Amino acid sequence: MSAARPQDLACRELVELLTEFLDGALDERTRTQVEQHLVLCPGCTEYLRQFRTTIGATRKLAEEDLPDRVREKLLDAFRHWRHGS
Amino acid sequence: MSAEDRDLVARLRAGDERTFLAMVEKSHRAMVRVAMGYVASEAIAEEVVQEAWVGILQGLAKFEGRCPLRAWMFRILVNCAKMRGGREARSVPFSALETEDAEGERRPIESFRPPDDPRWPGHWAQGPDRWTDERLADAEALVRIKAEIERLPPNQRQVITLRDIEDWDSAEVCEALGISEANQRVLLHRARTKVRHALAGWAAEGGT
Amino acid sequence: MPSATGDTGAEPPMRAWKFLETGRIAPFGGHTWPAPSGDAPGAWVRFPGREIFACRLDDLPWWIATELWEVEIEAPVRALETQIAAAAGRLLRRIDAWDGPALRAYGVACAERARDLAIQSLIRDGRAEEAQALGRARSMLELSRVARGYAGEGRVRLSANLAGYVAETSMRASEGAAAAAANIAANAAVVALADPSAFDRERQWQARWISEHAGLTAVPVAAV
Repeated sequence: MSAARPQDLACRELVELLTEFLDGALDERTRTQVEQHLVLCPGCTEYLRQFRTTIGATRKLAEEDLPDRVREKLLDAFRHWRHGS
Repeated sequence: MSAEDRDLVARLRAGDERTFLAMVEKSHRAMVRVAMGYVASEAIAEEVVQEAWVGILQGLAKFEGRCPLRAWMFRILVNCAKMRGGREARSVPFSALETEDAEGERRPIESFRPPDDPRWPGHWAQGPDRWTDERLADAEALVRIKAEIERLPPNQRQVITLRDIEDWDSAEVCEALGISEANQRVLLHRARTKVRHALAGWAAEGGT
Repeated sequence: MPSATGDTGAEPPMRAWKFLETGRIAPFGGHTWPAPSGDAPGAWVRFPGREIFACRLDDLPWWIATELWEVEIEAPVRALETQIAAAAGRLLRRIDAWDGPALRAYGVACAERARDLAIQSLIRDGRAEEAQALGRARSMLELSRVARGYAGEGRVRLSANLAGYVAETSMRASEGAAAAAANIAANAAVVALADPSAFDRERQWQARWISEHAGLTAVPVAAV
């Protein structure tokens, strides 16, 4: 629960703005509205925290997973190109 | 051209196998996921990635460095994938267990108060449950995230892979995929929202 | 005292207030503001192409956080609706009177304002017993429980909706979520007085409360 004035953001609207917010892509007025809402809304503050945590955890998925046969094929292609050019 | 790109291009042109394999390994999963945005199966996506590498190597002599090397590489990949995808009809089965909204989009259900609520229309009916650190540290959390990413519509999967797994910036992703910033952000947001929701089911106190 | 530009006496330093999270952390930027040491202000915080933000007295209720600091800010300065934007800023001194208990007391004071409006409204409605029960509640938690009993599902009766706000603001105050409590109380005033401008007036009351309890009134603030 936070603000109920028509000009203030509802939580449902705020959660849709979070990617733009984190990218710094919101115009000043909207960004200010998001920030003001976060100050007075524990629910959205927690949601943003979880959103950020999710992004941080997703980063850990960067993996190197190359099946051997794929490695062989690509190495063949590389050697073929090297000798051809 | 950045110093790093210049160095990579030079090594490849010199026939340096180690550099080539390192690049292949580092970007393989991302390339497969991006290719899957355009073709019917992972097997075909793997083939497309191999075709793309041939195109990349052959195009190296003409690479001028006006954009980052990897964005250029992925552009070639996308072109290969689109050509391949055009030749074969793509049919992605939808799970009967998912609900779709008007746009055919799976949406997580969060509990907000209805529009006619007397004091707080559109506000949290109940705020999100707090997450516990122990659950998040568990390797199972990553399994859940990965599973949810695999379930995403292909275009959302592409964007979250490049932005959040591979840590590319917004401009590079747009360059590689040939989409606008606004479009890229919408796709990323939908993807992240679903992944957070999937993780919440696991990470909330008492979640399963 | 040298101004930000190094001239002596050319312009008085511009001062304002700033809320930060524990450890001098910017609530949204996440960066840490350098601490003052002894009498020396903290180092200037400056980002190319970005502004820093600070509060005039009336802005304070919008930006509640755990630490309150007096800051010096550097021109050019822009006045916005609920804050001021400046090219750079530096910390001068921590307002020690704004501590955990003060933050909590603030939330309670705001909730009590809403309670008092509800009491008046209930009395006007001829519901004296309920008015007294609200007044007798000895804790925020008890107040919340009593008020919730009056809130019900009613969308029509003013008192019922007001009771709902009172239940919510006092629950937040009891949890220590002071900013949430204050915002709900400001909304309650609009309903109690049937006047949209009551929101801003309530915010102004809240700003004065903070200023008096934190001892801010003695310091001149940037006239922006």
